[in-house]
Amino acid sequence: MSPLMNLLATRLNFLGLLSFQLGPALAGLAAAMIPVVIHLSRSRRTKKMRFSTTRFFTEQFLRSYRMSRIREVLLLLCRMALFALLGFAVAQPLLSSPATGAFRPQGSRGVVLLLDDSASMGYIEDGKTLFDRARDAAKKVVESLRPGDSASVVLAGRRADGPREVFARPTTRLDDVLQALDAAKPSDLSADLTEAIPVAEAQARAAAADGKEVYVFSDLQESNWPDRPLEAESGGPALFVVQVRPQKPVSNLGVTAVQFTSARPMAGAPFTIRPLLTIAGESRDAVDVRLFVDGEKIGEQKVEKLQTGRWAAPRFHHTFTTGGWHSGYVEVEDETLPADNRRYFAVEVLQSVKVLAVDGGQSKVGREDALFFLQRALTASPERQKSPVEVDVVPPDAFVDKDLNGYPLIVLADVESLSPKAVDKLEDYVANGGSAFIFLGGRVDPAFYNENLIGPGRRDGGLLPGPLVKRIGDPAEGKDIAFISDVDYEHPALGAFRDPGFASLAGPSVTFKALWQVDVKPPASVLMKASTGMISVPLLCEKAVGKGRVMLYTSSCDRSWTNFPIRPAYLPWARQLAAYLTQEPLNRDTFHLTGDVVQLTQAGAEASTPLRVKKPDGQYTAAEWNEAAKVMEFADADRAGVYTVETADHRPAGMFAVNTENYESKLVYLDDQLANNPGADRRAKVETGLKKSRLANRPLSAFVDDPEQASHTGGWGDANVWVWILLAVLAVAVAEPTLANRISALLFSRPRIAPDTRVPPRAPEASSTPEMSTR
Amino acid sequence: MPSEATYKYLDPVALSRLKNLSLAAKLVAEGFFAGLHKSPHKGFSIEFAEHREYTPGMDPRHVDWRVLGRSDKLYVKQYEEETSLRCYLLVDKSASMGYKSEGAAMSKLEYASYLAATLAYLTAFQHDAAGLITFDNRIRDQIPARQGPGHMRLLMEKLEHTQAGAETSLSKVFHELAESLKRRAMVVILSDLFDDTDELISALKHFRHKKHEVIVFQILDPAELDFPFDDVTRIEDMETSREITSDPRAFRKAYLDELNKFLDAVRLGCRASNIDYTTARTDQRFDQFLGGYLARRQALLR
Repeated sequence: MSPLMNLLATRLNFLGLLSFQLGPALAGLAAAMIPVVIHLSRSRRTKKMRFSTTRFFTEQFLRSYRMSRIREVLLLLCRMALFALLGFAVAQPLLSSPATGAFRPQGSRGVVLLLDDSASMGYIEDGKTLFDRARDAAKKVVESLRPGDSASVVLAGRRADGPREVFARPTTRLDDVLQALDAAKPSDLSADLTEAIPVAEAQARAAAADGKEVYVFSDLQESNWPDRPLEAESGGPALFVVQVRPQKPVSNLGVTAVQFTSARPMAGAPFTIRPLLTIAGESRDAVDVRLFVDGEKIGEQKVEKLQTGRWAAPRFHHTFTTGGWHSGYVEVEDETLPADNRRYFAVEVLQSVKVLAVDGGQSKVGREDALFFLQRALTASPERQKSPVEVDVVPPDAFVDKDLNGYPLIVLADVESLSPKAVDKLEDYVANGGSAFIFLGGRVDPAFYNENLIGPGRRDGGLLPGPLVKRIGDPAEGKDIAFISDVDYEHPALGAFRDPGFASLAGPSVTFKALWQVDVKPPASVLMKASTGMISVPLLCEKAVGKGRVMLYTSSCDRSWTNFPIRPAYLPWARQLAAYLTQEPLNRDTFHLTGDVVQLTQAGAEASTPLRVKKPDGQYTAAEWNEAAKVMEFADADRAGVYTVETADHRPAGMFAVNTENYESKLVYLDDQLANNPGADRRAKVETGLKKSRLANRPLSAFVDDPEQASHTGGWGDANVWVWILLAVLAVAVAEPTLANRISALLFSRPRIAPDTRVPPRAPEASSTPEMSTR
Repeated sequence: MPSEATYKYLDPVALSRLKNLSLAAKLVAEGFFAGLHKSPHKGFSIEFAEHREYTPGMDPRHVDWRVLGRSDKLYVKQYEEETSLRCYLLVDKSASMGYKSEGAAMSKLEYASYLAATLAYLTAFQHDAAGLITFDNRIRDQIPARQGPGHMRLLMEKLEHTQAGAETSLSKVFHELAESLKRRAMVVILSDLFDDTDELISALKHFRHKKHEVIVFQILDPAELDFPFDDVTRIEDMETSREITSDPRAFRKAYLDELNKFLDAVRLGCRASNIDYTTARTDQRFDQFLGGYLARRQALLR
């Protein structure tokens, strides 16, 4: 912005009583000259005329003419006033705050400054963040206070422990408040004004002051107001909502999500990472996107023709060479909102996994073995590379003697039954954090399953998600009776299948000759369903048992009941589920939002060993044990980045990524939405809408859309002076002719003797040429 | 007959229109003077010229009994201009008469001059005598009433050289003329009559008191009668140089009211004094105006 524009945008304060914008005020003054120009231009057309006689110009005429002249001048003054007032109204004049100006009543003020320090406030415009502008405005409010007044600062970012109260209560040490404001900066957090406003109001109520005021400085993003309503409040402190939003059309490019195409990468196997890019404002021809893993740039892509309001999801393929935890981020370059330029992630890469498979249908003929296809799907690997999955196969009767240590996953493939000891062993294994994947089939004894693997006497109700009701279909008939109809793509193990390019599960290509109908009971959930055309039955279900979980597949894992093992989707499906089930419970959820309370252990666990978390800035914070929820929690995830979990003896115990809420990238503001309400005056609509829809009809003292005015709003509210000025303009416009007539009549209603300006006769031989001429 | 083509204010076309209307021309001429020709001429304004021997058929009233008694011969008195009349054309050449608006073909003074020239011509056409008096606030030129082509030339040249002069003082001039014109005459006043009404009427009555026949042509410009001005105007009085800046729209009605009041007063005053009063607009052709007027006068006198 040029210096001249800056000067015109300046807000002048006149004697501390009246403030207004310089530019529009000057424009108004200039506009006041318009009637003068018109008047003068008309005056220039005054003709000069010689007329035979003026003996018939009576005194009455002369009087009325003087009246008309006066009326003309008065009308001119009225019109000048109209233009000047209009310009002045556009300059948004404000009477000085009663609290800061000469009208201030006696008494002290207690002011709470609630600053929205969410990521969106880091939006940079003309080299200054919105937060900088909010802070400047807040400082002006503090500077307007007098000794004895008190102030406090509350930061509205959505933190795990609620809004940050920089001071426990309003303090009279105003220098400290100014220092606190200087130290404040925009965070990576989202904002929750519904939670923060009551906190600020509580502080204001606690202030030992006569006038209590709360100032909310925010960009008023739509997402700052969660759906839950603000509690009604009456008789509370005066509330001033000061909006600090970009003055120009917004422009922003950000990474708002990172998706993996598999639940868990395996060492040596390509792993796909898909960042989601969004753009606000002008479309861009090309955007560079970079992928960093473990601190090194792995890849860079150019996304072309990124259009406003649309997503772009480039794919990065990366092969982890080693197992264990890895972290990284996807980055774009954008100057307006740095907070969403990076999106962090953390993944645990499988180095090698051992799976114990109980084969209920062993056969010397490979293809007739129940495990033939599943085992090959899990252990397949590129040539000369070793598969990260190793499958050990045992018959059902050997399971009871098998040492289960080192097996994160046990597969039961068409097992008819197990001994009671084997059932108990399997239950203990799952309850202690292991995973079981049960495939049914033609050998399954439903009575055994319903009596031993489910029931009220079993731990957590048993391993099965529900009892086996009946077998649907007869494989001997060779007739396809069902197909996959529903897939829960929200499940981390199945999310990758949403992309048809990855593999397609749903549709008629996968068919079933038979499957077991299972009556799935909560809290178990159904992840896939098959449809017979008449009914829809569970195909894949999941149930948590103790610290572990069980998945049940209601058809066979070989070809006896389905063609699924020979369909392309079978291999990735088996691997995705195996990868999911072999993850340790601690690390299943590695994506969190800033301000979240991160659970480091599974809920309901026994007391954990002490854990500490290394934050992105290198500082350590100890995790805390939540006795009520029986879980280790970390509540200091305020910064976006990768957090590392360590045990007390510094052994790595996992990682998780924390990112900014993606709504912070969505630069949509509440006033734009409220301005769509019926009505003419945008500001009035916003103020009314804000009061009704977001502030639970609080007596909103003022809505201020110019932060520069914040310090002038003051405790008793500056009236919208320009509204009154506009009304005055209207009144003058309506009354001006009457007003002018009345005043001129008052001045010249009494007759006067016309001045006789007769001069001696001119020379007799004067010209007789036409006398009318124009000056 | 004078050669009409050589004079500015003798418009041959207009004259021919008046003369060549055959009967109309004669009528208007007769009509103009009819009142005088039919009058008894008892004594005044008739000057003795010579004696002439009486022959039968002559009016015995004109026999000079004094000569009969002295010489016992019958002689009758021959009177000079016994049938001609004196017509004085009083042309107002005050400054206001120089006014000419955009809608008018000529100034009021020019219009008055056309009328005066035409009337003088018609007078000569009837073998009567015409005189010319121009004035503003005093008498500027005075040519006695006479006959003959030379006299007509003199009148025309005087009219041509007449230009608008100074401020008007009609009543004073009229009183002065009423006293100076010894013989009964027809006094034709060509003026805008912009003067005090009462004094003006009083002066006109003075003419009548002296037995003069008075005809008043009040010559006005259409702009004076309609006041069509609408822009803010600085108006300068042509006689007083008084300046007034004003919006004519604001006082048109007041002006017209005042003007009509003045015209009514003049009209009523003239009627009361048996003065033939007519208003002439300078945007009307003078020959049409004069033809119409004379026809009306002829009709009235029949």
